[in-house]
Amino acid sequence: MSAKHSPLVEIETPVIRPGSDGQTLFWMQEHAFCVHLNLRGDPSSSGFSEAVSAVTGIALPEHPNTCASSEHCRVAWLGPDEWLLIGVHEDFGHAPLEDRLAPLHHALTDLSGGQTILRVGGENWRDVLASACPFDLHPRVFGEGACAQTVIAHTNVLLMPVKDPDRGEALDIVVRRSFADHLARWLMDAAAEDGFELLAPMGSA
Amino acid sequence: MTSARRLQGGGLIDRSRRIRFKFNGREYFGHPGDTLASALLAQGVRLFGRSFKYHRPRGVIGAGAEEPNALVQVGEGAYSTPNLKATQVELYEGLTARTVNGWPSLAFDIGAINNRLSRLLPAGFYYKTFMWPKSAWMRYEHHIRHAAGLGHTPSLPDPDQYDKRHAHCDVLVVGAGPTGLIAALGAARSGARVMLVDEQSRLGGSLLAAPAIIGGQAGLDWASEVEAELRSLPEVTILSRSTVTGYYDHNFLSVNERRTDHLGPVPSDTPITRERLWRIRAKQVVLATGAIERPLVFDGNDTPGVMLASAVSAYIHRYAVAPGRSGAVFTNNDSGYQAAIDMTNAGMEVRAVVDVRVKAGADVSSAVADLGIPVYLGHVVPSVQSGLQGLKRIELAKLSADGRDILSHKGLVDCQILAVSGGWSPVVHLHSQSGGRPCYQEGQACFIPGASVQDERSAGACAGSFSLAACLQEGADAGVSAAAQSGWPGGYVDVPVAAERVEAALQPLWEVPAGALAGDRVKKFLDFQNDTTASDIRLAAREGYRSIEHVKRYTALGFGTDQGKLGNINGLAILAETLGKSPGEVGTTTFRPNYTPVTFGAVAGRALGEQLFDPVRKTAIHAWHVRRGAMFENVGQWKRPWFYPREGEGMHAAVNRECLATRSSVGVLDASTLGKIDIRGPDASRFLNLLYTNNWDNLQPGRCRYGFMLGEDGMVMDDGVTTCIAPDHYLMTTTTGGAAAVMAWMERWLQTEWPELKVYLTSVTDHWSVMSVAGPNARAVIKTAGCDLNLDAEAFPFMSMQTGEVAGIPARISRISFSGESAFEVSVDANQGLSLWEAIMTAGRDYDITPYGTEAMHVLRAEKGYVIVGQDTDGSVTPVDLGMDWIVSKKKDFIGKRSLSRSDTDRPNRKQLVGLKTQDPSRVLPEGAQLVNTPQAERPVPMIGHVSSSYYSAHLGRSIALALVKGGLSRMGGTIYAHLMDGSVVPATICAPVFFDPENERTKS
Amino acid sequence: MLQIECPWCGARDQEEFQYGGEAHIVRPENPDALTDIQWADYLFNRANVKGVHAEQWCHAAGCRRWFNVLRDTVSYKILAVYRPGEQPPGGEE
Repeated sequence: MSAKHSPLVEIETPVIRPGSDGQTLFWMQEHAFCVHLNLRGDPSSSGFSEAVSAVTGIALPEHPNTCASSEHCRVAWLGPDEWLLIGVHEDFGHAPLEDRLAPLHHALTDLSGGQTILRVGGENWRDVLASACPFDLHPRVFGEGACAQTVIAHTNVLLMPVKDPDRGEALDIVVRRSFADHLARWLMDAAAEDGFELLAPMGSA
Repeated sequence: MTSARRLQGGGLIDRSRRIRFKFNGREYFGHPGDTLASALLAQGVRLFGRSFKYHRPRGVIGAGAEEPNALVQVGEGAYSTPNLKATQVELYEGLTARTVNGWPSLAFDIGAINNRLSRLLPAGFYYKTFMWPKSAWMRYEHHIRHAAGLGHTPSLPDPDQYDKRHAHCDVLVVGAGPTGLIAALGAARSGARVMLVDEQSRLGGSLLAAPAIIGGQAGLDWASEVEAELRSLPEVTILSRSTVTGYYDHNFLSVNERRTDHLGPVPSDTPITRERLWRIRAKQVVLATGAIERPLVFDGNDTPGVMLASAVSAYIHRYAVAPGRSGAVFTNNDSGYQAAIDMTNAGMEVRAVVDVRVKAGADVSSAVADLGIPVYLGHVVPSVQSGLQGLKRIELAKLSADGRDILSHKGLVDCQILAVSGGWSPVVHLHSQSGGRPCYQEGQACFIPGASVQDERSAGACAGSFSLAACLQEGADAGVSAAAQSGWPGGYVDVPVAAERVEAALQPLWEVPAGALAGDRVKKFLDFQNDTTASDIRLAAREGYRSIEHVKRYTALGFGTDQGKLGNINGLAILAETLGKSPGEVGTTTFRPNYTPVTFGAVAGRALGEQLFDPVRKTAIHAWHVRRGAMFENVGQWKRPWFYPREGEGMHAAVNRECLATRSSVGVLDASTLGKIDIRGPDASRFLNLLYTNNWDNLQPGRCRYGFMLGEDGMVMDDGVTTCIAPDHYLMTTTTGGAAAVMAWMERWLQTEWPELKVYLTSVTDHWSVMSVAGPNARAVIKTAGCDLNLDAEAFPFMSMQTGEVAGIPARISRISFSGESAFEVSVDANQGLSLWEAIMTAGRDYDITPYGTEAMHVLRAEKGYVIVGQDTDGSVTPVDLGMDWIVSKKKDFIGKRSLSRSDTDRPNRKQLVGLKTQDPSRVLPEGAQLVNTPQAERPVPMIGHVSSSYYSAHLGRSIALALVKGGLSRMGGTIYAHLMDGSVVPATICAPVFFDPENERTKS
Repeated sequence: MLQIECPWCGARDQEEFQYGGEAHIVRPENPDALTDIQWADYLFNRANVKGVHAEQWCHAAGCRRWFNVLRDTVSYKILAVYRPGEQPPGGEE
């Protein structure tokens, strides 16, 4: 087994850079090397959503802009026939799910190498994202259990509000690998005034 | 230096602190709360600049964004900003400002000769004189612009940082005067998300400049209470020093927030942005933008000392400045009287109130009578007299009942300040930008907002309601109802009592007739910044201009940085009179964003430089390329290694070395950027048959095939290799630049045209790291790295794919070649891409493995005649034009097929892809070079093609090129001539586009 | 900057969308049977209306679905959105 490298390999961590008032109101931490599975299929076809819940323990979210999670995985709605399954552990569900879905027209695709998660938080995270994100991040309209695909700094992203066990209210940004470095640099630049802390990545191999 | 004109008490300034600044090189001081204009007026400065065209001396006329005259350049060097309005520039310690128009000095201005020559400079003068002959305009323009010049662009890079912010709210209130404040409060109490935006340094709007009693307390105290409550509500955002500059579709508004201008230059290591451009999407908008007072149009109305009546009051109340020792008022409505009262209370001697009307309102009449100020009803000021420091005296004359003539000259009145009021123009700009059409209100002689087109409503003075009581009522109603319409019905606010005056109606007087003292150079200004006069408008009308939009462009009315806030209504009314129409029939010009100028810095925001202007996409191996010293090329948003120069090596040497190493031993290319689309479902091959020109029915699992995708117009759109992984599972590759577009295009066909096809697409571009190991020793390198597959050509033939492990990493290995060499393309999970690359480099050490970049890749593929879509094609090239009929199926339908038999695509003599060999083998043609049939010919020379790819091939020891040539396929062996920019002519021989290994022996080996 | 109601994701900023031109243009069943003029009509000719226009948009940065929009090309007001295969509300154009 050879070494894995996250898309943020060029950005050194940890870093603390206080803002104009000496504060750090934004933090960011990569959650690297999760299992990302893209699932496409017809939720109305018999056995489809059952297969997903049997393997993940999560009811397939069929409402737009929603996601559901358990301790080990999350399932986010991406489209009327498309979901993203994120597993924390390396052995997360590709083979068992493929087995169960085999009789159905579907596409289960491993994207683990193709995307990563930037978790952001801190008092001003919404302001930092609002520097280049047209989506309304206000907690009234976008809270836990919601997800949204949108753009930040011309980069397509999937946003999922989460509770970080150590730092509380936070947001997971799922971003394609090739854009991750750009997005991280953008957010650090946008957070310069508020001050930011870049934590060492989770899940380093 | 003393503050001769500063009042002893009052005003919203902090007398305990002094702020020193410089204006035109001289030192002055002011206090916190001052603007540059108020501080200079306090110290007796009256001359602020020269006018644009005639270079006439000008003073301050207004007190805010409407100011057309007092334009200044603020700051030094890189921090310098041109064309700021002195009436809006807040003082800070060490501020330096200079007047923008006036050379070599403000007092002695060479350009003022234009004022003497003004009869030679009528409206449209520049158009008439310099636009012919057309070619000479460029020559004149430079001199005219220099003579005109408004300010200087800093020549150094801007050291400041700027940013943007998106925001969403239920109710956006524009303007924080009494109307906006009460609207925001009424809305915010519902719990709605409310944004209140105001352009001044503190909230209050008109209350800052004029005393008022609201609900039994001072207006400003009431405003402070409202502000305090608003700030206590969590869903309220207040932006000061922020101008709503644009109102766009679907309630999208832009706001320019000036965050540090009042502090002066911020050190560049402090991470504070100077300006922020807000992009706000509001469910409902309340416009409470107030009104701007209009000047009256008379001879010499631009003389320093002639000011808007409301501005005179503002300087007295807000800034505690009496702008002169003596004053007079010239008005056509009751509001102008307030200036007379204010000036008197400020200790100025007010010598006359000149009222166009024969009857004034009872309340103001008694107020000025109590102060003993003489009032001249039915009179006008037809002209003024001035000295070096501006206004000295005004002419007084009796007006005829119809307002067209002067009946009698009544003598001169000495005064330093003439406060003028021609009525009020509601600020309908944002309403108009939102798509509304302002309509003319006869009684108040102004344009008010018409029907709402978007979710907005106007309240208070900007809706034509000028009394404070009406403003409060309308603001409260607008705020509460806007919140309710945005889904927050619980808003409320009690409307406090405000005193109302008994007013007499305004009497429009658009132009004051010339008086007894009129010389032959009467100038009644409309647009002070562009020196547009009443006679310019009449001239335009005489010359046949009827539309206000045309008159605007002909006379430059409203073209300045003030966008005609003062002069436009007077101008269109005079045009209306000239044309015998009403102002409503003439209408306003279109109000366009931006309301006030926005800096380029704010527009750019953070999107600057190599890293942040646009996303930079990097492969998993990028860091290695950087370490290796690669030069990079932008391909779409990707950074791709272009070539890897060694110490002291230039581009050509590096590329030659990389090509030769690959042809003679082994090279490796990072090919991760190619688009990759996973295609799954029982109808996958049917779908491929529709997308690609060739047949996909018989491709077996584990085999690869090259395909062309056409647009429905038959032109080549993309190409790539697609691999069959299982009968219902394919992996398509696309060009690097075309990946996203091809994916969207495929989804579109599936979703909208062929929803019955059972096919799912998933982009896997980023999941796979792909490296192409190519050259005679490629197989040996893969073996050395460790591979569990039989790599022999018979077991693992060209155009096949197998899964296995390389260097212990699970991989897909494909025998695909874009270099013309024996090649192994290895794809792995991108998290392990860098590890595999390093393993391959280690394994290849004994073979002197050479990483090669896109430039060597281009040379290698050109030697083989492989096209690059987008370089050798340009959207007008079919596969047949490329000589690739073999890839076009005659049997099945596919996207674009029918277009290949259209009369144009079917004709002979289309441009076709050929090879070119220059007759001098060392001569490399420039790409894009035009090709003609003869070395010399009469112009115009028929162009018969162009060079699309051209390189020096180190392997072949000569230059090679690909070109698109009319009827090229039938001209093999013929000579063609490239005519170059330097005038030289290079002969070349037309040949087949394959220069190397036409039998494909290498790729198959 | 428009705000467009994606039939699945709800109201989103124009930045998330890709424009696709006139809607309800059906690819001919059998292109080979068409004359050059008929084919060119399918290929090139568009209504280019001043007023209510049925057009395709894709929620490119969102759910990647293509859908139809009725938009007034003068006021830019969006009158309706509906999914592919559905007819515009209010019957045929």
